[in-house]
Amino acid sequence: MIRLRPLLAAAIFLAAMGCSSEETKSVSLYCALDQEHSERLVQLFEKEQGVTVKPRFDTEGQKTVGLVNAILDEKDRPRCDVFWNNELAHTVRLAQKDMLAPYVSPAAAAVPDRYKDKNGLWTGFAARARVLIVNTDLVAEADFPKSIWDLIDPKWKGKCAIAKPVTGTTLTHFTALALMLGVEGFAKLTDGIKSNEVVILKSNGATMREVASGKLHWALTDTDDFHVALQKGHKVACVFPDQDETGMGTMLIPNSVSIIRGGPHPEEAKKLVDFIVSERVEAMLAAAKSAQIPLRPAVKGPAEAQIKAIGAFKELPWDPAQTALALASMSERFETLFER
Amino acid sequence: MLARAITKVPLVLGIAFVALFVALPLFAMFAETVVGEEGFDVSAWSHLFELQRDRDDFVTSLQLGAAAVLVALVFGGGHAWLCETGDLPFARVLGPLGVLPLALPPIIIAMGWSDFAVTKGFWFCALLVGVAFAPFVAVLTARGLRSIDGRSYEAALLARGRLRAEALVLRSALPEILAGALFVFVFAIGEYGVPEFLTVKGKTWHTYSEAIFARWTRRATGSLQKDLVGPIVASMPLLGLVLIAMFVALRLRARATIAGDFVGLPRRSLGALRHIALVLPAAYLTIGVVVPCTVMFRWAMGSTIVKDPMSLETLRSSFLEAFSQAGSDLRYTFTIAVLATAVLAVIGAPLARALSRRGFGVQALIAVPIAIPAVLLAVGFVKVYNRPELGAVYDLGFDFYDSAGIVVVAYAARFLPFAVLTLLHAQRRVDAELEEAALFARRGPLARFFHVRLPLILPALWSMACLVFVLSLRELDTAVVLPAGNGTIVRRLSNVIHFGGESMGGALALLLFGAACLLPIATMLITGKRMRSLS
Amino acid sequence: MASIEVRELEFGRGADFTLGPLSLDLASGSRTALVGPSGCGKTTLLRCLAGLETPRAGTIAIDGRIVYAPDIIVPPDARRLGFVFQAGALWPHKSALAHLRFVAPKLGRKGARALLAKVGLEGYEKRHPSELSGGERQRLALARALATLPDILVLDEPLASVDVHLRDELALLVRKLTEERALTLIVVTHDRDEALAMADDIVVLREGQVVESGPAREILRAPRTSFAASFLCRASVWPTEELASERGPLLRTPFGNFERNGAAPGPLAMVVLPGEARVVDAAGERTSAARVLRVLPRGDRSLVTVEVEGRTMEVEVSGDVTGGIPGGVARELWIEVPAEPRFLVPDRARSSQRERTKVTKEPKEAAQPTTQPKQELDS
Repeated sequence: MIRLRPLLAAAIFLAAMGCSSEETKSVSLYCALDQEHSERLVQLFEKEQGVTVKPRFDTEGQKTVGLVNAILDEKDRPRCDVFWNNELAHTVRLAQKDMLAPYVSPAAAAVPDRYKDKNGLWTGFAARARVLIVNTDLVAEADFPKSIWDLIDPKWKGKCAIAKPVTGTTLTHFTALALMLGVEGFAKLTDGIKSNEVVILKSNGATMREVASGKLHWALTDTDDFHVALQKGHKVACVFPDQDETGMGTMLIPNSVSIIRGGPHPEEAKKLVDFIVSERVEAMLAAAKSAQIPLRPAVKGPAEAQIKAIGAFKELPWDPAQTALALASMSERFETLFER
Repeated sequence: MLARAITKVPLVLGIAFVALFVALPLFAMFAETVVGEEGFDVSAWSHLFELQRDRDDFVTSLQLGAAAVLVALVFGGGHAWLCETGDLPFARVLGPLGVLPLALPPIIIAMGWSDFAVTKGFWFCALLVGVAFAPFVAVLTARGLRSIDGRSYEAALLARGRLRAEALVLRSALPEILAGALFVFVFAIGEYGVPEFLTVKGKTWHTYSEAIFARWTRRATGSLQKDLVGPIVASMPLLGLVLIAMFVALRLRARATIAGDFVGLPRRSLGALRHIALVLPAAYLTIGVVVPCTVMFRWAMGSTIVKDPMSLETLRSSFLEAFSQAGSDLRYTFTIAVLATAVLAVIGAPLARALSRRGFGVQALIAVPIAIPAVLLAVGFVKVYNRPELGAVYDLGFDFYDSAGIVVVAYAARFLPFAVLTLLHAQRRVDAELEEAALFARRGPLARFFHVRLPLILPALWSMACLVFVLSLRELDTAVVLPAGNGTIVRRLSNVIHFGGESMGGALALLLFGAACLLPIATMLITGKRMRSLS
Repeated sequence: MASIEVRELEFGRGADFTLGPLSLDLASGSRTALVGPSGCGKTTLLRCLAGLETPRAGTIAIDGRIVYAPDIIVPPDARRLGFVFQAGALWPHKSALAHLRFVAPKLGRKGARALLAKVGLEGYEKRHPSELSGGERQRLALARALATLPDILVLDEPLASVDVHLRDELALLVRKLTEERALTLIVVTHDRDEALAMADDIVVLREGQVVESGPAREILRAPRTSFAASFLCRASVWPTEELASERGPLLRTPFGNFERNGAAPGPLAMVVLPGEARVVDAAGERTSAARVLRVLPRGDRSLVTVEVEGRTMEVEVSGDVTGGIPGGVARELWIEVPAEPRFLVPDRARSSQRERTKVTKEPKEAAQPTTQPKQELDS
């Protein structure tokens, strides 16, 4: 009996510590966006709202699914309040798995409805476009590729690249294309990619580097990667593909934010979501190195003119729900399709 | 009686550690593979090696492992051979430098090289992976050579000439050399970062680890049992392979012993080749350290920024940026690495002692945490230590799952094999009579431990600490899965480079390299001795 | 000073036992050498006495106090026993002084220095084992064993790793110290000279069993078993065959027939010590033809190894006869044995006993061919 006393004392002490630590409000954020930028925004929120944010970032090594996996692994005892994804498909997948709690943020009223879940499970904001990065030393402006279909133009045989479409935005993009083009149309694209010796690289960052360094003429990538190359002084240009009348349009993949069902701090989570989807944050993301495209027409877009504002280009219509459902099987299929 | 009980505490802690932080998480992961939503479901296992692609990848992994071993034998083995036994110029300085490539994560070596040259193809990958892990061969070869009695070499020299004598030395050191080679094999087949990073134009081969990783990414979106537990099932063949390799390595190492009355090998004249032979250590260190570090240095000077020339000003700002953004990460990582090392220092020795009385089969089992992908072990931690039942306990005040503590024990669990195997080997080398002699002392068990047992294994303990410390600093996969691993430096580094921040990334990589060298260098400075062993 | 009583001690694993069942009484203050060939269990016995090994049956009592019984295990440090290991087992990280200070803190710095001086290590206080010679290391090991003021001193082949010319000196030191401190001494050796130098009594072990024990001089002069004779005295052992005759039973040997007088029933072996046989020029009574295999000069005498009826035999000859035996090696000559040679019960190895019970071989085959045991020095 005597031996229990120290244990009891320790328990009381710990409990007291626990109580005292509850005094400060906190919220846990799982963030797949570039840490360098999101960290500053988080600090701003902490300063303004007096809420401590416990952020957790993803890594390139995990292809942005590290946090999604973490949320799934922690589902028995959710640790995440707010999930800020740098794309949309995986967020939708979480919604389909009933992992998200509904919240319609008043701050996102100006975001077009097509970028918000009708049940309020997720909200889109600040997007990246799937564009063509072109090395201007190697390709004259008149010869710039204009469409995804240029990938299979024999003119560019062995000179252009895509990222391996088994993860990231390229997977979302190709899955959406597969759903949109149908079996025959998509087979035409993929067969062409193989026969035209399109270089398959590890990531969009890698495609950007190969083009920037002049090893390849052009590649499919994201606007943020293009912007990084441009800022470093590389001779590159950005083409929003498939913009002519018959073109299917350029794919736009927004960031998405959602509240995790059963998260430890639901009230603070709402505050954080309001902050993240705010006009101000969207403007800051547009001004940052990643040059995100604001979804609200009213918000000022990136300074770089080559990155077009919403409304200034034709968007590829895609269904996030259908795309999300098909991701796993498509990833497996693409692995076979593009690697051998 | 109390003192006697106290001496048992580390062993009890060690066993508890293995049970709680190795066996339990792994069991939890394994259980996932046989329990589906509707009860018992082993369907995922039927997909093992179902695809031709997986079978091909598995063969490729074996080939990559073998090729990396070849590279490691040439560079690591050659380095140790020349520095330990030849009259190579600067051998005393070059010898210890053979462990340096271990201080850089393989991915940094690969990134450095891809910036420097056209890096592609299976053999280039094997070269980089082989060099990255060659320190294992270098260290063990050196150790093997040091355990050969010089008189046996001289006897062979007199009887059969130089060539035969060298062959004898090679044969005597072979168990240790092969043990090193097997460690390289184990790491090479588990490496997915480098093969994946080197996916460049025309890559037509993939490793099995990449296949496991691909399944890992599908897990997030999948709903079928085969998608959800695919990566766990897929890693089982690798686990089996590693365990077999480890069993062989242990058997091999066990045969290498030192006789009591010992004379070391004489340094042999390399003759006219003396200076030419420098090419090998130079090439080894160039590939493994100089090129990657130079590229990192150039990155820090702004080499990737086309619009501005490289400058010291950029270098300065890169380091300042690295410190201001990642200074706390660096401190945090350092603390975690030190704590993980300390945990293993306490429990490693008693576990090694207990294991030394068991068969090689049981000893090989200790390799499990390193044989399965780190991600899986870490997810096992999530499964076990984020249970709702524990939530109530955590709410009392200490949320273990959210704390740095879980990262410390996860690192310690991951590197437990190195700690135990290093100390196991040291244990074998300590004459049992030295410890028995202390039993007659009129002293308590604690005094006996601190005065006799500890000093006897201290060199091995310190080598182990350096190794675990360096590996902990480098660890990425475990850190990514655990919430408190968020603040580690390697995780920050991999992010920064991905998002185009090569300047700061270069500075961070150099800081990491410096931090990794800190403990071994401090050892050399404090003890005034060369770092002779790491295992 | 303390007595030691060992009763029915057994050590081993599974069906094999490497020691015992063995009983032994060592009087307080006695000095005993445990001798026997390699693997006979002498070191195991020593380690069981010291508490370094746990027997599986039997009892050990020191000065009447049970230190081992199946339900009692007294740890080594509580057995009041000092142990000197074969190779010293010195701690490489400790200086000579630190060795003593560690095992016996109460000794104090002064006491430790005095003890070092006593074993001849004055001025070596700060040296580490690597800075000591083989002999000095054993002196330090001895000092360490004595530092805890034991009642019993146990030495496991203490001179094995010491240069030959230093052995006597060290043996004398052991003798002197044990006399001074009235210690009970047990020393393991397989060298008879070492045994004689340090001990007064001898216990001969073979395959975990006591073959013979008693005062050293007596055993060496007149061994009671053929094994002790061959092992300790390099005696030649000849199996004999019993013949019936008018005068009573006779024993047939290569050297002729001898009367069987009063010895216990059962087979007997003829045992001839090297000094008891003579080289003679011609065949005669009690002689046998022999062929010289080798001649080993020993200063004022020589040890001649000859072959008699397919067995080797050692004969001591006075003077250096290396060149003195005409024809030298391979020469034929005659060996004469004494008129009343020893007939002892032949040695029975445990393994051959087992075999015998199985295959019921002729008893005479139990005798071992008498190749002399060499001095085995582990180095």
